[in-house]
Amino acid sequence: MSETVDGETADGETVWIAPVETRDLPRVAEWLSRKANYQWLHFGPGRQTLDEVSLKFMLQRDLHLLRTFGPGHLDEPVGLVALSDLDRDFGTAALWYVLGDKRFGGRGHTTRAAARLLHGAFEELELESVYAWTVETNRPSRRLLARLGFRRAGRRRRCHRIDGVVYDRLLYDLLADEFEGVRTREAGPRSAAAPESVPSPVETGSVR
Amino acid sequence: MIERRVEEIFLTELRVEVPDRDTDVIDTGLVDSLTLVQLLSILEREFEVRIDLEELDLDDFRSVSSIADLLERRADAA
Repeated sequence: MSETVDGETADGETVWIAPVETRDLPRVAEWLSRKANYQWLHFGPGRQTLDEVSLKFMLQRDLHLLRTFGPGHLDEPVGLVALSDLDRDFGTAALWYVLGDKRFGGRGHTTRAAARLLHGAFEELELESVYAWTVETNRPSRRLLARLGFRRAGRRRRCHRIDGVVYDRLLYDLLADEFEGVRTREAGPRSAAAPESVPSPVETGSVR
Repeated sequence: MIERRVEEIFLTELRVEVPDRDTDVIDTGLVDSLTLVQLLSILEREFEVRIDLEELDLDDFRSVSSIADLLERRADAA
């Protein structure tokens, strides 16, 4: 069976992505205010959360592309995928993501949503390279990045702190042609191609 | 008067020296999205105004002049 990374989820469900609107901001800010999510994030010195006002300003800047996503059968979003630090001259951006509704964890929704965002970024914005980072212990996020074709570009040592414990961050990047290869590859039987069937407590990545 | 106070806020509270009242502080990179949040909070406190999320327009915060215009409109509407 053929499966593409931006096609259906592991259980055969489609995923939609949509521009974040003002009415979405309280919900998105609430997701980002939860420790289960913000512990993996970093928006600059002393900042691990984003409130509604920050998000509203971000929506109006061309440095960011924020999209909510959800499974095809739901109108309500369950998470956020985003590109930040968009540099249209250099063709680069940073990918980050949050699964807000953890009941949808482990189903591949975040991966599919991120893939759709990346597809648009590479095709329409003609980006050359997208980078990401994740904390070394965030296995769901590592799996997600691997599934999208991201390659390890390095390790930033002892730069992330969770509950007083210092961790490394793993750095990744993805080029347009590498993503296209992943997007269209033959993935084999769906059951064998669903590493995210392992329940994931959080699927959160990188932010600036 | 308002412009001068806004300039002071940039300098003393945000530690940002704005070269000109019409300088675009966003495009020039003098302030980022997170600093804008801090600025909004200060403006709301200092000028006793409230700007709702729906009304929040980035263009109102691009320069000392545009911020002063926003505050004057708010004062007139009050």
